[in-house]
Amino acid sequence: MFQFRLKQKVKPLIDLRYVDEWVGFLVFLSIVICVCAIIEAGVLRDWLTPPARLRVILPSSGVGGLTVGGDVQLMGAHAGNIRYIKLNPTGNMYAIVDLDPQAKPFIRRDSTALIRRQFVVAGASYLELIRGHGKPMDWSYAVITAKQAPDPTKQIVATLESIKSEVIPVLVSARHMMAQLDSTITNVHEGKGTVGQLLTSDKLIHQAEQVMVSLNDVINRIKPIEEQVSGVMKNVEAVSGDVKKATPRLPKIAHNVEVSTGDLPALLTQAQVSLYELQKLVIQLRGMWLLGGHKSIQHERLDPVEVQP
Amino acid sequence: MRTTFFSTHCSIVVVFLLLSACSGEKRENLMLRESPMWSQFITAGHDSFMLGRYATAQTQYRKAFDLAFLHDSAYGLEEAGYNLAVTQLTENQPQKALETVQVTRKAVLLRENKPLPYLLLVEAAVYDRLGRYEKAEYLAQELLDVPNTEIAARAALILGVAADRRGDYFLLEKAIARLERFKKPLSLTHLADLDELQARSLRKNNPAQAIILADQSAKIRQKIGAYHDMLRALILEARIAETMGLQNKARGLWMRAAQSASVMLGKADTLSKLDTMNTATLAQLALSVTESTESEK
Repeated sequence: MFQFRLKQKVKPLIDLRYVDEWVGFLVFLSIVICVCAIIEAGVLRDWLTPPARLRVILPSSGVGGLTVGGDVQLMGAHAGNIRYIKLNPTGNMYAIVDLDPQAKPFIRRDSTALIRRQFVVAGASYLELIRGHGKPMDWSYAVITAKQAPDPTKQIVATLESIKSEVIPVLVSARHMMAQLDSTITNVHEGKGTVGQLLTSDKLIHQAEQVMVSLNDVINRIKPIEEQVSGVMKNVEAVSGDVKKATPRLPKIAHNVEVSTGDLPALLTQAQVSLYELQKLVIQLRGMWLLGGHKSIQHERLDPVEVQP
Repeated sequence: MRTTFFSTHCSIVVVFLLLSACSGEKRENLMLRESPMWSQFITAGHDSFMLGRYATAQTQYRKAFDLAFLHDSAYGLEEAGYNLAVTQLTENQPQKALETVQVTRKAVLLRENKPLPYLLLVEAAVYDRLGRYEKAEYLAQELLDVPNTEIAARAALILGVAADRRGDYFLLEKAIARLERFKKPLSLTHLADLDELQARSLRKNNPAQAIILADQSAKIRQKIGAYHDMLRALILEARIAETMGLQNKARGLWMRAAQSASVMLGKADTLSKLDTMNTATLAQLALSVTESTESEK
């Protein structure tokens, strides 16, 4: 080509030297830039690192709104997608999840999954993986179990039912009490019963007045007795004066009594012993042949004749 | 001369040896008798018993019984326990008497293994009073041949009375035969017992003879002061009079028995009311002293 141009005799209107080379250079540069961009964007890395595959056994009650392509989250971040939802021959359902390889260290053998809704009670369902702390997962056949997240609406309904069962009997009792109170107040107003009679009848007040009159009369009668009592009290005062005079001699009297009675127990014991000795003496005297007696044996036993059938 | 002197000394030694052998009473018994406190309790108990103050007698015998425990004396326990049981029986407390007998026997046998005929005698009488006649008969038969004639005679009476109440005439005849075997002439007590048992034996076949024997028994017992036994004889006589159709005589006998029983029970204030009572009530009052709640057969 360079040779061809050298042979041309006619000089071109615009002399562009090395154009083809420059174009080639630019094309090559753009290709290099494109490859660098791709490498920088990590597309190749994604291609070269395949996703981790996780089997999630779904609850027997159903899939809970999960769909193929549904979101899978780990610790609140997107961690993969649901690839398939399948039914195995035993009737259980399971989902195969493509998991970001970065999530692999957090999924352990004790990890579980929860099926949640986007906005607690509404929105699309997604699978939330629970971080595990047990042994590492065997990623050649990784399986975890999923549960349906508790439905807050059911808890609210149960709580309301409980409140209803507690409150309704109270309301019934309150209604009954009010009815009773109403009936009682009505009776009282009509003058029934003791309280009703107190409110409506003057008879009791009349009786109270009569009692007061009688009491007055009794008080009037007591007055002379009171005068007599005061007279008696004067006498008692006089007697107590005499007693007061005699009191200084009381300790001496008490001492004398104490001295006299102190010897009584010993005296009694001596009397008992003397009596016993006397009895022995009498028995001995009775047995003396000189006095015409004979030896008698004193028995400690009662006579068998005293044993009465 | 020398020979005479030697023989005299020998005779004196032999006499002393014989005297010491004669006083062969157990040392422990002598020691207890010499204990003034124990002897005083027993003597006071006897005096109270003779005066009919049974509650006081019980207290004194109980003190003696407790003191015998202190002395660890089998002799003291046997004597005091027997006296206490007899007093309780006399005060118409057979259940208490039975408990006393059982406690006493256990305490004595713990210290000394020996026959206890006195306790057996009380036990037989207690069982008779409680209406357990077979047991009373069994115990009484055990005592029929003991050397002590007083115990044997009393055992024969208990056997005869219990056998009659149960309707066992073979044993009643056995009791009569035992009393008849005693050396003649019989003492008044034994004679009265024999009359009562013979009256019991004859009351169905020969009531006329039986009523005479029962009356004779009651009179002898009145004479010797055995009033509890007299009451039983009066009751027997009243029953025989009833079977003979002598209602007036029976009522009179029931009245006498009830009056005696009232005083025995410490209910002398009811004596004036007895005249207004019917015969059945009088009989019930009289029987409450001598018999258990079970009626006589």
